[in-house]
Amino acid sequence: MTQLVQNLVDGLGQGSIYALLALGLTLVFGVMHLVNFAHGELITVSAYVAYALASWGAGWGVIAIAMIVTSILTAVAIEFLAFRWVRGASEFTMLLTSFGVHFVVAALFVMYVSPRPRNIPKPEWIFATVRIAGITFEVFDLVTIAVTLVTLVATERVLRRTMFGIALRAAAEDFDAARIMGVRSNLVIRGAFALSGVLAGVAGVFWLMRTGTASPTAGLTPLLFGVIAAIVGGLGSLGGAILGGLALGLIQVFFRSWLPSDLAGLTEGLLFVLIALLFIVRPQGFVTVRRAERA
Amino acid sequence: MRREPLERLAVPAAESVALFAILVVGGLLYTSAGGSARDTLVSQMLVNAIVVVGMQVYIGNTGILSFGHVGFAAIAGYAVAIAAIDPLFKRIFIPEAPFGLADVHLDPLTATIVAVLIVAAVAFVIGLGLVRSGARAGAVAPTMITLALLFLVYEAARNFTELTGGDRSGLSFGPGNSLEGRTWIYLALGLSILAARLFRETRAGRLAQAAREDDLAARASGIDPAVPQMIALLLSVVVVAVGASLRVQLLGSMTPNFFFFGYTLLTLAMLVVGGRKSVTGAVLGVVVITAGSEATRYLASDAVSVPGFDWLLKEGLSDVFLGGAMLVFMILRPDGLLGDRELGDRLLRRLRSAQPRPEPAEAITSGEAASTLTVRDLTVQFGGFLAVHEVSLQVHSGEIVGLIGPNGAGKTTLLNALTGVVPATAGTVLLDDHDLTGRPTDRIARAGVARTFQNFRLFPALPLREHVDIPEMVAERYRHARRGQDARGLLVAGGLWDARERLARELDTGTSRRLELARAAALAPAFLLLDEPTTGMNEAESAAMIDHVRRAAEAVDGGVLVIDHDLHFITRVCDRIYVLDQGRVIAEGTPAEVRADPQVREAYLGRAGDRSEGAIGDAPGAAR
Amino acid sequence: MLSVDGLTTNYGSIAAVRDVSIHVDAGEIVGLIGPNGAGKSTLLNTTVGLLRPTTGRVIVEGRDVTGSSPDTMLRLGVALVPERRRLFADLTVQENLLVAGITVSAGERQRRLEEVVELFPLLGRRRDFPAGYLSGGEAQQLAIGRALMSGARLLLMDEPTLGLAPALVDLVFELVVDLRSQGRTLLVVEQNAGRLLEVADRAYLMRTGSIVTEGTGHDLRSRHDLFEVYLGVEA
Repeated sequence: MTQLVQNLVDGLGQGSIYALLALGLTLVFGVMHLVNFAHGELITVSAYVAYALASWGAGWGVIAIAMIVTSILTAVAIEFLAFRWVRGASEFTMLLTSFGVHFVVAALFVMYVSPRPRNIPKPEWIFATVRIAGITFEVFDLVTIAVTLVTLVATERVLRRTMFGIALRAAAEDFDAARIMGVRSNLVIRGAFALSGVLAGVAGVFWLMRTGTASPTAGLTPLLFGVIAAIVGGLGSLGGAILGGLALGLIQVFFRSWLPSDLAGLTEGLLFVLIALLFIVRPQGFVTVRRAERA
Repeated sequence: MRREPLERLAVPAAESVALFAILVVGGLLYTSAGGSARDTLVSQMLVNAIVVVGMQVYIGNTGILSFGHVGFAAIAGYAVAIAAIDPLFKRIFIPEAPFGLADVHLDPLTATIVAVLIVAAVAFVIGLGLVRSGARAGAVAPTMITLALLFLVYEAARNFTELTGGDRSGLSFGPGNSLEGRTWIYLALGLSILAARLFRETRAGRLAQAAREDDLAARASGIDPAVPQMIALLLSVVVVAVGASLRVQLLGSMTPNFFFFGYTLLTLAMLVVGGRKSVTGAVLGVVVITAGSEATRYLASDAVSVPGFDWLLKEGLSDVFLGGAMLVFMILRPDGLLGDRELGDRLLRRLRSAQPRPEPAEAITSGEAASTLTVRDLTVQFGGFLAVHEVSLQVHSGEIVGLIGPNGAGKTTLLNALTGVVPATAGTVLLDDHDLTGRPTDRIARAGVARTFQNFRLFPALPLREHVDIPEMVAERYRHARRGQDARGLLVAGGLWDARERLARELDTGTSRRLELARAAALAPAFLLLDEPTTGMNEAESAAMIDHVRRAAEAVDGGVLVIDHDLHFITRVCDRIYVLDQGRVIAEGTPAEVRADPQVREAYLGRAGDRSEGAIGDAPGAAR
Repeated sequence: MLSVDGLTTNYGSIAAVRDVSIHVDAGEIVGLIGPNGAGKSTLLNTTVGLLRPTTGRVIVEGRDVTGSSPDTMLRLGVALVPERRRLFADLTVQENLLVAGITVSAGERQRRLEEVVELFPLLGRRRDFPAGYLSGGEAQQLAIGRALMSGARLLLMDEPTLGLAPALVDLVFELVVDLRSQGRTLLVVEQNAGRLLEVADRAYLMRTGSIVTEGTGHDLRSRHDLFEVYLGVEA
């Protein structure tokens, strides 16, 4: 029982990070029909900024804010430099464009920093535990879950209460109709990228605290889980992306705790098998976006 | 295959030989300048060419972006390494290999065959999954499934250290190059190019390309894309596996990172820069990327120092080049340098232009038995909206029947339900006593119901000729009523013969619609369903279409159901007309009867006075 | 107020509109009728800048605005009520209205919102309903309400009665007349030609991408061969 609750919280903590990434991916997909495999670069770039700040002795508070700002700027820059040119292109072209961005960013870090990972000291408190009702929890998990919740609520507010959010949701549903209403394409597309940058920035802070390394491919693993969560959640469905992320975190943690120790290294591999099976059974994801079809 | 074997096979074969010769001679010239580094580089390039050509077979012909091919390569690499490495060395790297694999010692050829078989078996299973996931050009699910394979193989290789040696040691063949010279590489390369190039001309290759160009149009032409896509996948991974085995033997070792993201980047860049849709493009991409990446690597090495450019010439430059090349091409020229052109296209076109003009098609089906297409009480509901409401109609062979009604009446939905494009909520569709209700689009087409689309759907990157050749190929297998007459006569009849080598995407509206009609007729169907064949045409084209529809009907010796809004056209071409309004049949009769019917007038021009509620449009969900 | 001059639009490879010239004066209701596929929607979509014309000009109050984006056209007071309404089904009624007011200031937007809700009390009662659940009549009111949010003086309505029950069709035409009496100008595309001609001051008849005939609503309506002209059948 205790083990179960601990795993549950651990899984939700892990899944929170995926949920934030998946939500950003799904927002961008909504307005551009792009599955952005360069989304991980937001984490990569901000991880290096964190490394630079940490080596100058900055505290994690400063680092966290700088990471989020970097992530937003990176998202907007990538849109401006690459994705702007392939709006409306085929899925094939957009997918490969995003992979191209990934490879270029990774290679630039190899060129200008180092191919080897850089370590960033993890904050002390992430190793702390707390006992609640006789069960030991990691403080880090609890903080991750709490901050994610706050971020999600804030995102929800932006999407429901601001004109930008309403326009974004309108454009995700029917881009042309939104244009007819006077919504500017640039506004919603760049806005979606910026918002996805905020979410990836928050996710990146926790990811970095956990891993403690900045490397040219630091964003790859979180990206893959984010993409998978977004697709499992039915690409384009905001709630689905969040559920997909949490589910993925839970599955990962439970796999790790149930698998015999000599197979534990295969957690990710088995997860991929599971994911592949999911796509085979339900390629459209598990949350189907409700849409009245047109005659 | 039946026709023009010379051009179809000989020219591509000659082309493959030429491509092969260019690679070999170019490589030898470069090597002759000396240096073992150059020698290794050329060997690696040739091996990469095998892998990339293999990837082209699948990605190029199906349009499905696969990231798993490097995963298949990894499987092949390990299979070869484990089977062919001398047990002497294996005892160092993997002393505890299960199943006594540490003692196995196959010769390289047998090991490669084993590797190919294993990869093909895995690919077959993955292929079934891809089919199940509804793989089609541009879909995300197959990309994710194949990416999952790549990661799974990588993770497995890192973790099953007793079999793979893991990250640290990997597996090594021991000192010396286990390949004696380039004989095997040449042999494999030549065969790979030939296989990939000829595959484009095979039945499976052409069907896969049709589905790549337009999945729905291919299905409506009786093609089930699953089969050709599977064949493409199998051939593709076999070639990739051969290339991977050679790469491992050439480099003399194998580690998990050998076939992972880095190699994926390299091979994908090679594939898309040259042009993934053609074999020549794939080969060209290999050369361009190898040259570029070697040049950048050289520039970034310590050997070179350009004052003022030190900031640029650093390690990692070649990866920036690869990623950048991919990016730049996706943005500026997504189809690569060559698009879908092959080396011998010009020759092929010249040979083909000399072909004798066939007779205009008059009869491509024999009218063995008259048949009837019956729609009974068909209802299609979207959410709460009744798009088609208990519609019944019949078309007999030899008749041309019209289906008219104002915008939003449900005509296209009815046609879509008839051909399995949207599911019918209730009711039945019968071809004679053969129940077609709920069957997939390709099976309905094979049963003898061909259609066209409102916003015509051609195969944009295929020549006009293929638009009748491909359905004819399908008809030869599934439409037994088909008579031997050349379906290319349909091109002649449609006034399309002289443009037969042009690509469909270059056509204007009128020509596109005539081509789509010819494509549907080439399937030798019992019934032709035409959705707005005159939309976007001017009056003269529209008038000419009357003749084209009549001739197509005679050629297939079947019945026609035609939707159109142009009454001028409809009344002249049709024997009978059904009028649909708000999802129901409101009138039926000869053109004259229908025109005189006040209800029809009302449906089009609006009601004179108030009428009772027929609240179809008022149902919830009708809002969109 | 609006004039379209020698406009040709290619839609893919289809020349959907060929050399069309029309004009709409302030305070008029102008009808644009014709069968499906005649190019009516393309003409409207090109006018508001959703599509780019191949040749020709769009002039609003003397200014050449050819190729301007839809949001610019809205700022100039030209709004489109698109075919099939294109409501945002997952957004609430209020959100649908707000997004349509994106081109005006926040205060103005709120004021217009109240105006529209006053004009369509039904919508007021459903403010927080997702638009996907509205009935056909409510949906059409919302579609028109959205166009009013931008403060447009010229409304281009694309098939406003499509899929509506007859009683609702009446409602839409009453609304068209109302809107004009409030000082707005309307260009209405309809297949429901008979009804439109009753309320239109002038009308154009389009077929296969070109204007075939034009005249006052009354003149066209009294033509006994309208049906034949409309569908392109010789009498």
